Amino acid sequence: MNYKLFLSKTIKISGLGLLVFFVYNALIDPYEISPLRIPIARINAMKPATDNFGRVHKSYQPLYLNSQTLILGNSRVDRGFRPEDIGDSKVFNGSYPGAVPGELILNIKTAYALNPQLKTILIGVDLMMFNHLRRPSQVEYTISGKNPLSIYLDAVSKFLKMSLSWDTAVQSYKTVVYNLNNTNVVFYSRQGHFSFFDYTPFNEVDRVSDQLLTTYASETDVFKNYKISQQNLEQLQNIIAFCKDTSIELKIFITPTHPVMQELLLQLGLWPDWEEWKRELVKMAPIYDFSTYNEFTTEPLGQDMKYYYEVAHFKPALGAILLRDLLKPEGSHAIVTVQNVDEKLLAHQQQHLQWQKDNPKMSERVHLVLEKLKK
Amino acid sequence: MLFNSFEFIFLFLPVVWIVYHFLIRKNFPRTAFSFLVLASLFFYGYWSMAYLTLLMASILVNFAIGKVLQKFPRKHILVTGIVFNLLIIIYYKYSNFFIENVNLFVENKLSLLNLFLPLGISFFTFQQITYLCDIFSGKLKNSQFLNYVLYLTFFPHLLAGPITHYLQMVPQFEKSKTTNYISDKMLAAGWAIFIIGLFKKVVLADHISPISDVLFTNATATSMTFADAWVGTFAYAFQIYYDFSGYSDMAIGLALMFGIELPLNFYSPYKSANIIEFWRCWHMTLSKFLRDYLYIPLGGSRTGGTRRYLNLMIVMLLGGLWHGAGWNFIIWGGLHGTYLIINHAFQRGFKFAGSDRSATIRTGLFTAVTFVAVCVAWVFFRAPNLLSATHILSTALGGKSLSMHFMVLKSAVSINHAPLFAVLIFITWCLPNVSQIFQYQDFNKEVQKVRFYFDQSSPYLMAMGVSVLFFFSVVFLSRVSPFLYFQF
Repeated sequence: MNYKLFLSKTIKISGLGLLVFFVYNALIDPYEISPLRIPIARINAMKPATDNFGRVHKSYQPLYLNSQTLILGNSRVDRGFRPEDIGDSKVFNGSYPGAVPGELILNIKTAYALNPQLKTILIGVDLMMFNHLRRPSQVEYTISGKNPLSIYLDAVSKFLKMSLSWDTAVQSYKTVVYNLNNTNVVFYSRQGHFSFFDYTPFNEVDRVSDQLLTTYASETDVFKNYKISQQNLEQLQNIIAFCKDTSIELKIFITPTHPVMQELLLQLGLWPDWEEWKRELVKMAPIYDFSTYNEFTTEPLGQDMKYYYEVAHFKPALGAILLRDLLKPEGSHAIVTVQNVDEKLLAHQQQHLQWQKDNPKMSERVHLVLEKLKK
Repeated sequence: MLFNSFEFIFLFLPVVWIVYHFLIRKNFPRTAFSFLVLASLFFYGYWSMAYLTLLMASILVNFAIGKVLQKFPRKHILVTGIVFNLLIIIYYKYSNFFIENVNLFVENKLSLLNLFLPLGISFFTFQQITYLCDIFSGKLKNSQFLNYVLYLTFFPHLLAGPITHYLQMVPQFEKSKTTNYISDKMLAAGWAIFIIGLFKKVVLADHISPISDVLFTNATATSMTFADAWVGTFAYAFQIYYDFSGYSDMAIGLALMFGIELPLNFYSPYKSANIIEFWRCWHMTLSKFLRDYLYIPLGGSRTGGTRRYLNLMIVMLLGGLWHGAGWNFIIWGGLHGTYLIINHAFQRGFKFAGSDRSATIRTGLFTAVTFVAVCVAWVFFRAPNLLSATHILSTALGGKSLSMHFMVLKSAVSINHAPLFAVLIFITWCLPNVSQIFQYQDFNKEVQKVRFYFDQSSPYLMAMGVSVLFFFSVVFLSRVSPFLYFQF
């Protein structure tokens, strides 16, 4: 055999194959992370993969944006805050499903390293984010680095790896198929809101809500055998310290939690954990508690809700009210501190008991879900 | 750094290869060797700088003991050297296992040590022991420090073998001083073998591993069926074979690209018709080490009947412990020791006669029995604890009602996993192995010679085949996992 010929042909054939593969993925760009950003109608203008790859998508956005206010959190914030609603183009929603404080601090450091003009960070938290089993689990494609150069190098290296991945090729293919069969669907808005739900309104709020209650009650990384993670609390403390050191204004808020979901916590015996967790938070900093009850947060569950998609996620209509409250300079009645935490928790307990009395069918519904699980 | 990473394939390997060959061609062999040592230390230190210090300290002490042994070949100096090496490995690998077992019998529990196992410690420790033994026995008269460091740290075999001897490696490096080049044949074969190994690891082993992971990580938590137990066990048998033999092939291929022939480590072990043959084909360099440095010094087969079987059992129990600090590994070694004793006794007691056809059927049957016996032992090797292992085996050996088992076998297993298993079965039992394709180190001889079976192949056809394997290996190197929203 002519070994030189064999080697040169091997390099050429495999090199060409990998190059074509790379260009295909980089052009289709299913996670919307490429610096090229060439939207082609009926090919890649809509990005359905950003739904399940929100973490990858959001991780790359600080490279292309120059925001003064960054909103972070998990799926509740991702779906519930549409910065466009308050008409401030300098606000970006960098949240993604399943986010935990250990990942958020990487996002904050990256955003600040690339944009020292960052002034305000709003972090939405909830009880499940502090489950002891929740760790930064999928950070292999979260961009990080100590300075802009190392961040850009990290971004390029991860972009190359992802563009040479079979998984990305599958998502590219699905993107093209989706674009051929659909029109005018926005998955993520320009300012980072996951808008897909607004294009495909739920027709089955009851079924989806029951499914979510079942999942949350039965999964160990949500509420089954729940324990508060000290590690995640420490990471939140690190975020607070970082913002203090860099003079970034940080506002932490507890996301609205529908009373049905709070009833689930009560029936699972997690109400004391729910309160203990709030006490731990206020020890670190004043907290905006949006999980308390008012005319918006207690909207009855059903079709055509204005403020909730289902039992676990609120809509941008509620998000806009909260966002205005968070950004107004004079403070908010929702703020809980070490001084008023006992009073606020007691008031909230009474609010829930009253809701229970007024909504016995809802309470029974949660009970039935748990009974079903026991069987 | 791992062979199956973008950093290694697209950065480290090309840079190191180009610089090394440039230096060799320009007739700077000592500089080339020094560069290779530095590159290998970077390769190791990329994982942990702390353990790089340990590796270097261990190398310095062993080289010093070796020098003393060359001047004064006394047994107590050799023993000191061996004890030094064993103490390092015992401290890092076995101290927590020891503490855990002591804690079973004492009231005041000892705290476990906060230790991380330095990568490749089992391999470089054994190689340093062979170095000292070879000096003591007079096989190795003289050694140079640079050669010694290069022999130990040469990156293709640093992390996972094959286990080599100083005299196997250093003369090959010395040869490149005089020839000043590495042949196209070696380069072509090295590249092709590396790609085959990469494909085995990334495409075959990594795709079968989720099936076994589900079984072994949930062995006691979930209800398991007869079919689950066997499918998971077979999946692990394929996973460990393609993982380890793939890594060995990558090491052999990489070394060839630098003009070095490493010894063969696997020779289709699952095609073996008995356990004795299996151990001649599985992790061959470890088997050879255990034979030469443990079994023979214990008396080997010269001591006859019972003592020979006892020696076999000791070797296999220690071999099991070498693989990992846990009772699971000791039981795995004990099972293989038992298999070997039965096999030896069986060979002495029976002679088979018959036609070629009956011999073929018999070989097929024995191969199947050997494979199943090996799989049963793998359950202990892979299971996280003894409870999981016994749970899996009791289910696999019929702990539940058969009608239920066959129902599950029909519905779940055949549909989901059959194509992958079919491919693996075909590759394992129907295709030639790397040694046969490249006629690399003829199995029955220990002659180090590369003859090229693919010499007659068309370079275009071969390039196409290797490129396809490389393409799929690269695109499966990195996984981008979705975050399934509705679960959270």
